[in-house]
Amino acid sequence: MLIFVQALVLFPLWFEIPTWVTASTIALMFFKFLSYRLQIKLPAWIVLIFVFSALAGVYFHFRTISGRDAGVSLICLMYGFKLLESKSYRDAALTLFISFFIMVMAFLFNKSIVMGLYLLLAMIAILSGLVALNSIHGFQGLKHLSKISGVALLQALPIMLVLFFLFPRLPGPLWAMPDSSQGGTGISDSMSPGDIGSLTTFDDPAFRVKFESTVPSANDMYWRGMVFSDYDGYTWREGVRSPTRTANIPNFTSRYQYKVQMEPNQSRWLFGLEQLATSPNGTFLFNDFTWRRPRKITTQFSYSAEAVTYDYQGVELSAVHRNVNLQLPATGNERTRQWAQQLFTQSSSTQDFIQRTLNVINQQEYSYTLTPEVLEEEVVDGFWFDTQEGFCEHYAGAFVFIMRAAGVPARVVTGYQGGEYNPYGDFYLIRQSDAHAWTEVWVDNQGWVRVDPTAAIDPSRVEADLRTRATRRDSWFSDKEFGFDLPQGFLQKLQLRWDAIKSFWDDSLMGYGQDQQNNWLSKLGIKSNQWRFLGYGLVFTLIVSGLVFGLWLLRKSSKRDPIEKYYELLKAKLMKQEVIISSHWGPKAILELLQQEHPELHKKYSTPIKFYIAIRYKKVSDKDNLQQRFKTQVKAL
Amino acid sequence: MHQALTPVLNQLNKVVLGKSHQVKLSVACLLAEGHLLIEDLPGMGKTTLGQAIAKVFGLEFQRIQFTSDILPADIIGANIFDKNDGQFKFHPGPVFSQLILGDEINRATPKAQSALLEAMEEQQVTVEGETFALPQPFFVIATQNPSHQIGTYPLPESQLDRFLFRIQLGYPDASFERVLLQGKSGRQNLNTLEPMLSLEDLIRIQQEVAKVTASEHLLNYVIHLIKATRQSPDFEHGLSPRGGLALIGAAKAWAFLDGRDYVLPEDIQQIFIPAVAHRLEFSQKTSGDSVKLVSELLEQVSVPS
Repeated sequence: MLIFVQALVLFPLWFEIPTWVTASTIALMFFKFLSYRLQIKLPAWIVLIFVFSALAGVYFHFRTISGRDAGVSLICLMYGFKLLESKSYRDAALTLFISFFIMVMAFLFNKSIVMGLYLLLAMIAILSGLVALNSIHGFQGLKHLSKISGVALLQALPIMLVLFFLFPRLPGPLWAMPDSSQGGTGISDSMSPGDIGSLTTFDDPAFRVKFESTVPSANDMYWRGMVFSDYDGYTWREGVRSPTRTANIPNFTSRYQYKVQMEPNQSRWLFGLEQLATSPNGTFLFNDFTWRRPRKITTQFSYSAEAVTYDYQGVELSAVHRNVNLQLPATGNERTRQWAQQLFTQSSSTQDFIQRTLNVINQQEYSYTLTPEVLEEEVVDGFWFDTQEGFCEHYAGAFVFIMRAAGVPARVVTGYQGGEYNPYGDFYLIRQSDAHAWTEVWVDNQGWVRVDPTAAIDPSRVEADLRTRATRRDSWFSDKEFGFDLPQGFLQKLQLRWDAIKSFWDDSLMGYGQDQQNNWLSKLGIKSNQWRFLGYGLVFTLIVSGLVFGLWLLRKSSKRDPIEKYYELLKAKLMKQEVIISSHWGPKAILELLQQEHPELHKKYSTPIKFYIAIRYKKVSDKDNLQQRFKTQVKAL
Repeated sequence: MHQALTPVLNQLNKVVLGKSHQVKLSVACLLAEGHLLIEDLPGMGKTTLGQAIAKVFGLEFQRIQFTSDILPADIIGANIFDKNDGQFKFHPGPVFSQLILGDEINRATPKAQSALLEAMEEQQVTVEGETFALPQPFFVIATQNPSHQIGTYPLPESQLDRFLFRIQLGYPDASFERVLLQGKSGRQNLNTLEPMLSLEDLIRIQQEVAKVTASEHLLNYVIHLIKATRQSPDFEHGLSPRGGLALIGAAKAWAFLDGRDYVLPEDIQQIFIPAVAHRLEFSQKTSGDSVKLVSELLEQVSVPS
């Protein structure tokens, strides 16, 4: 039973800790099973050697014994050893209590619903273990055990809810968990070939959006994240940018109001629907129309925002900005530079130039693939003339390069495009796989115009499995209609439903942090001094429930008749002498047990028990007298 | 008075080896004026036990072998035309006897079964409007084969309810089996048994058993138990009031056999399974052994302090 519980608890951790630790914990369990079956006992010094070698192993593997991974590995190993040496009731109980702790460690790695449900199961198993351990009859079948544990869990539910809602929350995690593997998934603060391509394979949610106004069409859902204007021939970076209080463009019309709920992504920037206006509370607007937060987003973070349309009539691009957005490396990619300048001289206007460039993408053999040939040098030349294959960032990068080479200010914008509507939760889900890069070109009197060169690719040259994605971006060549529709089948509905549940899980349960707690409390009308209130609230709740329970006990005991009370006392005294008495035993059974197994106790206890029998079951005349004598005898024991 | 019963039990144990608990239960059943149902495979000593009890208590004994073609008249008797008198005369059947051993009762058709079972309940027999009282004491020991055997008609619940106890004999221990194979007991000893009590003694004992005290406190316990059978999801129906009465009556007999004039919770527990298991019907979803379920139930109900 213990081994089973241990396996259940360790199972999710096996995938996170080093293989050798996993193997040794399994080996330890197997060994425990064997030694239990064969009744062998290991001498203490061997176990001690094992313990020290495990300690050394962990140290040499991680070069430390603290931190998340090393700590978890160490605890798992020690947990295995504990089971190995446990033989008494106390050891078993201790192992089970440690199991609760180990179980929760799985949450350090994975906080999904599936894990939550799994751990619920594990918890019932641990509780069943405890019940079986403390039950006089021993093992009584799994069904019976899990029933008792389930009832116990339900009984604990009110306490759990009170603690969940009222226990003071910290703004961040209690301890900083150095995350050893990759950081938060998301768009990075620079763009070199291949960055976004690796994102499009992640289906993790990036953020969720709820519109409070009308909803833009999917084609217009460009979620702006970062702007890159600095290019070194390989990597695009953020250029000169400065925080600004307002957009400095006097005329605009308000279009959409929405609320964003961001997943933690360990970065500082926020995403907003184009075009961005005043930044949400606690964040800054930059003059390249990006939002930033002073602190990294480590927990769920939500904000309200507004999308607007600016009127650029008469607005001029400042000289600084013009320079920044025309910057190119001094040399390199000569073929593209020449080609761009040539095309520009043929064009009648900037718009015409943009259109001509897009036509080239559309009509020549440019194809969209997530696995293009990797280019090391002359990246733009190689892409534009030779390979002619790539995905959004190749196109966006090359397009901006061409614009700049011809003297048209342009810049790369990264973020997300599109979003999947979830009718059950009435929100749009934007996944990591929706990551996208597009461009902005400065056109006089029109301002920064969004151009998505990727959308210009002829659909016949888009990899089949990417077509559905590409169709959503088809804004430039809107006369072309593709007949690809996602099948609105049962599976998809199921997935949407699941995501709505997941969103509730993530937002309301996992993401229940200080902010949510404050919100919730302020709804109740409590605003100030959260800590003090929570402290009082908790203490108050505990005292009240304690009082109610105490009163209930008191009432129960006052109702009891004296004989019952004294007989219970007698049984309790026997229990203290390590005599195990089941509740379904009558007095005669107790007498017989004492006579057979505890003759010395039998001498002391037989008289009062016989008195009890007489009072309860015999027909006697002087009951009061007997009762009095029974009481004094029990007291004397 | 119960001392008189000790040699009786000893004698019976000499005939039916290694089954002292079942023997004691059978005697308790007789003392509580109930009827006994023995369920077991053929050849386990059911009939021997019945015959031995009849002999030791000096009861008038009749054995009815139930077969699939037995008729009610074969059991209770019939009116037969008497040539000499020129009128119909009642010829009593084997049921007019103090101890009846109904062998393999579930091999008979329900019609024939009910002839005996009605006699058990009413203590009288009615033939063509004329009522005949049965002799006193009237004790039926019926045996039945496990119902999964071929050619059996399971007794309906309503009729099972008329038996105070249903017991199983089970295989004997190896040591007793050896004695049995050596031919030193069993039916050979049967013939040597002598009546050890008179009829008057038995009736007096039965009256005394009825006077054994079942205190208020004990009734609390019994009520808890009955309630538990009614609330348990394992059973279709709980214990009937008749079942509860049977429980008390049987416990009194058991206490008497133990030499007490008051019933203890332990007496209830000892007779609970034989007195209750056959009266409870499984609910649809439950499968398994009724004896096991009932004993689990017994462990779940605590004895009031």
